[in-house]
Amino acid sequence: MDGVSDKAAKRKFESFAAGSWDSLLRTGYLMTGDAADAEDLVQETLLRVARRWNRVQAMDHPAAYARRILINLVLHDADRRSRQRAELWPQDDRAETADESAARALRQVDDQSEFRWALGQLPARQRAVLVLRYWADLPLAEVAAILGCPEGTVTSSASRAAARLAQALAHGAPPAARTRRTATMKENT
Amino acid sequence: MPTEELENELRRMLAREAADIQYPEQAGQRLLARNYRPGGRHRRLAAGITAATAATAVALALGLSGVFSSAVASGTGTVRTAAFTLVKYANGTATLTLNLNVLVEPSILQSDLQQDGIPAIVTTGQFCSSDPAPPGFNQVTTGAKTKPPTFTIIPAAMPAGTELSFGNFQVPGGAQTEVALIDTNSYTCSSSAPTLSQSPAADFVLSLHAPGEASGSKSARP
Repeated sequence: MDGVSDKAAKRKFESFAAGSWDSLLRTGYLMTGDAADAEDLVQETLLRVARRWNRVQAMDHPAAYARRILINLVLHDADRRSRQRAELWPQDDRAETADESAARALRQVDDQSEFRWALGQLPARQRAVLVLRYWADLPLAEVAAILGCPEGTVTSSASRAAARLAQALAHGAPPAARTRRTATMKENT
Repeated sequence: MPTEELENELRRMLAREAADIQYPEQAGQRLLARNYRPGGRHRRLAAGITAATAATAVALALGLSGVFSSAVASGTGTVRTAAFTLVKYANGTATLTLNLNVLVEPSILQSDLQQDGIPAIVTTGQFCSSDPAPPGFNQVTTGAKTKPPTFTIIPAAMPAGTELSFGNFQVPGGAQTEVALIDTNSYTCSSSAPTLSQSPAADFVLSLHAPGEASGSKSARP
C-alpha cells in the first residue's frame, strides 16, 4: 500500500469507525449485559476490521460484516466457556409457553434490570437471535446466515427465547440482580 | 413464528435496554481515540474481549477523534450539531443527546426528527403541551439520566395523532429543555418554562437542565 492509498484507506476506516461504533456498542451491550465488555467487544471488532480493511471496504455492507464479527466473538466466547454446543438449541421445550403469555410478561416489566437479568438467562445464540431479529431488525435470511442455521431454526429459536424470557420474568430476578446495572451475562452462556 | 404482538414487545424491550447503556459517548471517544491501523500487520494496541483494562486504555496516537466531532456522519443516520446528536437505528428507534450548554435551533432539530420518522414540534422560548396529555410518554422516551442527557425515542410506541413537544429555554448557565407527548390536534403553548412543581398538563414531562441544575427528572401529573 503506497502512502497516498494508505492515507485514503485510513481516512475511510476512520469514517467507518465513527459511523459504526455506537450501533456496535449497543449490540455488544445487549449481547453481554455489561458496558465495559461491550466496549472491549467493539474494540476487538474494529481491530479485526482494520486488519482486513482493504477487503472490507470493498464490501457492500462493511457495517454488517463488523456486526457479524462482534456476534461471532460473543458466540465463540460462549462456546469456549460452556463447551456445550448442544445447549445452544435445546430440545427441552418445557420452558415454552404461549406467545401471548410471553408478550404479557414483557408488557408487565416495570424495572429494566429485571429484563436485563432475564435476557442474561438465555443461551448466547438465543440472545443473538433476539438481538439480530428484533433490535437490529434483520431479515430472517440474514440472521440465519450470521448464525449458520436454517431460517426455520431462527424462527423457532425466537419463540423459545421469548418463552424463556417470560419464564425468567415470572420466576423473578434475585434481589442482587435487580440492583446491579451491569449484571454480567457471561455466567449463563 | 412469534406473534406480531410478541415481536413488538421484544422490539420495545430491546430498544429500551439498548438505550440503557451508560455513557456511550465516552465509550465512543475512547474507541475512536485508539490507534487502529487499516492494512497494518500488527496491532498497535493489544486487545481482547477479556482484556479488563481495555475499556480504560489510555488513548494512543489520535486521528479518529477528529471524525467524531464532524458535523454529519454520512450514511449512518447520525446527525451531529453543536446542540444535539441524533442517531437513527435500523429498528426505527433513535437516540437524542442534548448539549445543554447550547440553545438548540428549533427548525433544525424538528426537521431532523421528522426525517427520522418522529413527529415533533420544537420551540424556543415556549413550551407546548396538551391537557389532558396523551398516555404513553414513558413508552415513547426512555433514559435521559446521563450527562449529557441522552434518551431513546421509540416512534412506534407513539399513539396515532400524537407528537413530541420540545420546549427550549435559555436559562442562566445554559439551556433548559422540556419534553412531552402532546395531542397533535389539541395543545397550547406557554412562554414560561414549566417548573416541576407546576407540573404542566402532560402525563410526564422530561426536564433537562443546564449543568449545575437537576437533570433528567420526570415530573408526574398530580
